[in-house]
Amino acid sequence: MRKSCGHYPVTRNIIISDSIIQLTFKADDISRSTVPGQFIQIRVSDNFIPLWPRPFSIYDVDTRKGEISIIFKVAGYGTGLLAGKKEGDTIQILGPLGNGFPIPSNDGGMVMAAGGTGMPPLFLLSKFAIENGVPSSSITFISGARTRTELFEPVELTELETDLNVCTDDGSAGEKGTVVDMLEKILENKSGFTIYACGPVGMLKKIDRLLLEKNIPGFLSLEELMPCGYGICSGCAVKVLPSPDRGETDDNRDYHLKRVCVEGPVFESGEVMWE
Amino acid sequence: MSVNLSIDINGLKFKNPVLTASGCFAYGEEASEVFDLSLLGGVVTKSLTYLPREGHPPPKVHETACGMLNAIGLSNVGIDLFLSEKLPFLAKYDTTCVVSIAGSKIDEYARLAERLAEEGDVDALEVNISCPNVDEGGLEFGAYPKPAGKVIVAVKNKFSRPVIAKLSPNVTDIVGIARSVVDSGAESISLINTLVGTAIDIKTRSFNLSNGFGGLSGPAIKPVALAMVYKVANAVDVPVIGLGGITTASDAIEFLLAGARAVQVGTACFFDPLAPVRIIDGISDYLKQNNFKDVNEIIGIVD
Ligand SMILES: Cc1cc2nc3c(=O)[nH]c(=O)nc-3n(C[C@H](O)[C@H](O)[C@H](O)COP(=O)(O)O)c2cc1C
Repeated sequence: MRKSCGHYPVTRNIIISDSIIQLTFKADDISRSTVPGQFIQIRVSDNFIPLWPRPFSIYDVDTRKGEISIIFKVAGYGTGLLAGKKEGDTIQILGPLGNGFPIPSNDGGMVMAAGGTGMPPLFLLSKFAIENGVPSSSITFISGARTRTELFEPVELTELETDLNVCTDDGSAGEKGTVVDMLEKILENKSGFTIYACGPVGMLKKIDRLLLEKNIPGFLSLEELMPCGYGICSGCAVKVLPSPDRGETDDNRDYHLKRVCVEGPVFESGEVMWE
Repeated sequence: MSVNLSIDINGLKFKNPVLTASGCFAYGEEASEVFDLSLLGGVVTKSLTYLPREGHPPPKVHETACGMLNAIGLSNVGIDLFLSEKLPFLAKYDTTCVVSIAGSKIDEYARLAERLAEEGDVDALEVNISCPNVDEGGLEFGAYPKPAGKVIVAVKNKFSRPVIAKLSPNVTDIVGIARSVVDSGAESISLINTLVGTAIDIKTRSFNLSNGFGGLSGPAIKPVALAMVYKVANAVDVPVIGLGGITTASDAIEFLLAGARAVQVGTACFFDPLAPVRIIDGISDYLKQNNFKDVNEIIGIVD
């Protein structure tokens, strides 16, 4: 798969809440080749601090305008620099990267479990699914965060008209409880669903366990800082269960490693060996 | 006006002096999705061991000021898969193919060299002597002149095309080691590998890398690398390949002026995938702007 690398102009910087920003770039080639769950690597500074680009899931694509968007929380120095980018600024982007979610078919329901910064790829997946004929009413979307100000809830998400369930740990918005609590409740009453999850690693680990217990299929998207993002350094590798046919190795580890950036960021439930 | 960028390293030809560094380009497949590998002077593969290796468990990398630490632990596909899948891929491109080898015993280097000698598509070997070894009591082969030389002799016995010895900077006398590998038959020397370093998470009070220690690379190490390249290039008669922190054409030109006949781009490939291509163009522009006709004219002319 061809990957584009270059300096792309910012076309919009929208402040969604105190610390949440939506940035849109003009990037024709990337907008045309993106599938939901893929990400881009953005080099936020040319001065080597930070050295590595930062990965962002692609939140939205507009192939007509040739634009792509990301949504992120200002969490540190790198995202702080990025939040200061204005219309007309150009920035180095590499993408689209990673495997993305399997494109859902028409049948069966989908449950999206989004924790905090995990919302963007699940929004795009829902949007693609609906465009592919999945009725929006058959998509259950859980969007949760610790507190109201950390909630990723742009208007576009509401406009998809999925069965949207908002929750916060402290109850400051939506129902009080975690994404996992919410998912457990939903799974009590329904079956025949596929689960798609993205968010903090603690949340993914719990969801993975829940899905294995209940024998429900699901896909988990991992978020990991990575030096390259396109497979050449192996720095972002995570432990996965070894396949029985891998043969003799030099160091006989009880795990196998997969690169989050190429073999991921989306893994099938049951694949990742959590720490 | 066109300028000559091609260089020759003891019979080994490169169309330009810019190579990608071992472990910073995998086996070329992923990078080929970003640019045409035929633009490169050469590719140095990830270091191969005889059998595949998973390497160290995560976390394997840690970002530092203007640099990074890595403890990948030589994860690689092993010689069999390399020969059946990776080498045929690289051979499709019009670029010089250097295969990096590593081992925990001298015999492992020799067995790798023997297998690779049978492959016409392998233009040269780069011998990574910076891994911990078993034969010499758990130190790096590259830490002392004698064991470093022994590895090169073992490789040269099996492989008659050019052999490049890649030196570690984590030593007291790099010139002594350089002389030893040249006396043992190395046609060229590349330096530097990463500098030993670590980082500690003060919240958990544990090391950031699973392995504890790692190797520092990136812009932060450039001044150290440049000084070592200058010293070694002035002490040995074989061509030297310089690397360590090279990110821009001006970085690369500094190494050429210091005496390197070629350069390798490592960590920069991670955060700036097109860096090697831009460096090639930038060297060419510099030569034109300064009225040089041939890149060989600027090698080692610093005063
Ligand atoms: C992630 C990573 C993996 C590396 N793997 C190897 C390797 O397998 N063999 C080797 O000789 N050098 C390896 N190196 C060292 C580089 O080739 C190079 O010598 C070093 O990083 C300094 O150059 P740089 O600052 O341009 O990266 C590795 C470096 C990094 C950052």
